[in-house]
Amino acid sequence: MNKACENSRLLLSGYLDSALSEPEREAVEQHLSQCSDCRALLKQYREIAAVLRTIDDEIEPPEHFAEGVMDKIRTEKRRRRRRLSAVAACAAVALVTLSLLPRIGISLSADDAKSDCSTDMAASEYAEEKALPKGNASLFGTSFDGSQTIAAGAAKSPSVAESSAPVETASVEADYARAHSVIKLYGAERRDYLIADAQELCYDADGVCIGYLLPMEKLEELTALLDQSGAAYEVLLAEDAQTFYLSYEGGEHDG
Amino acid sequence: MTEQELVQQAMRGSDAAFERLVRLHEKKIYALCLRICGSAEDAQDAAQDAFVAAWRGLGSFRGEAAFSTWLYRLASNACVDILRRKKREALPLSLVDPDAAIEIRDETAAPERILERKETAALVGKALAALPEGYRAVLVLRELHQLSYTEIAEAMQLELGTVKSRISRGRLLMRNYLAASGNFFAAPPSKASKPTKGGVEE
Repeated sequence: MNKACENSRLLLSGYLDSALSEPEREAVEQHLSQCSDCRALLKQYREIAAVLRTIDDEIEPPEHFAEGVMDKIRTEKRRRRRRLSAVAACAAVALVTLSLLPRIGISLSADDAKSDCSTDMAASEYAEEKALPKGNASLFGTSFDGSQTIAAGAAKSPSVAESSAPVETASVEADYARAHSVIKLYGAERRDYLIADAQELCYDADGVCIGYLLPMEKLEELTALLDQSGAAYEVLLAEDAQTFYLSYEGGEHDG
Repeated sequence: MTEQELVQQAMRGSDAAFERLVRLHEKKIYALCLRICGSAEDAQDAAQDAFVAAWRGLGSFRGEAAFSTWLYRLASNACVDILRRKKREALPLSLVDPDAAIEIRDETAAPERILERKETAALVGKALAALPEGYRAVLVLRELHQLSYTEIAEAMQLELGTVKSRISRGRLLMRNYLAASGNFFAAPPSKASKPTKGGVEE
């Protein structure tokens, strides 16, 4: 294959999609007019494309596919109504930026969270795979008091990470003992971070969970882990937890 | 009612509107998931996950991209998650080494036989399935779902240049696979483009 063919073949795919600039298109056509091999290749590309275009025409989703989706949604709606009351009782929100962290796996053993979280399995497997130094993965794996939860969430704006907000957790921990709260997780790679077995609370436009319910009493341990990992985070007050939750899940959409 | 009106109603909490959106898109989304995941069971899970993710994300959907492009994006994410869960992800190595990506089996090389339409589709499907996942998903969106490069970049969260090069490379890999199978193309492969190594020509 000579140089002209090589150049033309780099552009052939774009030519097929009418995605070339005018000079590129002209150059390809000029070459094609002289080169039967490249013409043959283009013809083969077209033959393949023609088959591909209709190859899935007869594929149908399984019966009752849409009903299955709607069932899942109705189940989730019922769960959300229960969560709303938990969030309403929030005493605090911890804003955590995970974009600075190596991958983290935090495991909770709340029975409610387990039965409630549709992606439990993925989450725990993920935690195994992506966990920090091993001990951390099961940091929250023991002694969970189901009556007390924190909601943990994922942060969206990297600027929060940069701001390195001060840690206030320690000073308020006593008041938290009987409270609920929300942790919000941020960062472009947030889908790489899962808090295993926590209740998923709310989601962004990519369907990625950015808010989890966690046991309040574990906040201190969590912040210790985050400190150790060099993450920036802050603790907010009750209304902010609700505002955060409602901004994602609130209103009529929650049904 | 237009799709946009359905989306708006769904955003205001109408399950009926959302269900109609599901029914409008289920065929394409399921077909995409089937091509990416390779099994009906995984495809159903991924496609359902994608629609549930869409419902969850409705509150954050700003309509910058078309609803269908957004669905494609959620679906490809769901497929990736499922494949990752099953640890069947293609090795990164095969993404950069076209020779390693495709196995050419001799038994497919029955010579000089004219293929029935169904057989042709099966063979092309096989060639598609033999592509590394990253190439396959992009090529499926382009060739089967007729998305533009920009839409594919949006759906797959890839750079435009990556989309272009994966489509180009994917086409060449498929063509080489089919040429090597011996009975797809009407004319025998020309000398200059003979797939001696099942990869990019020298």
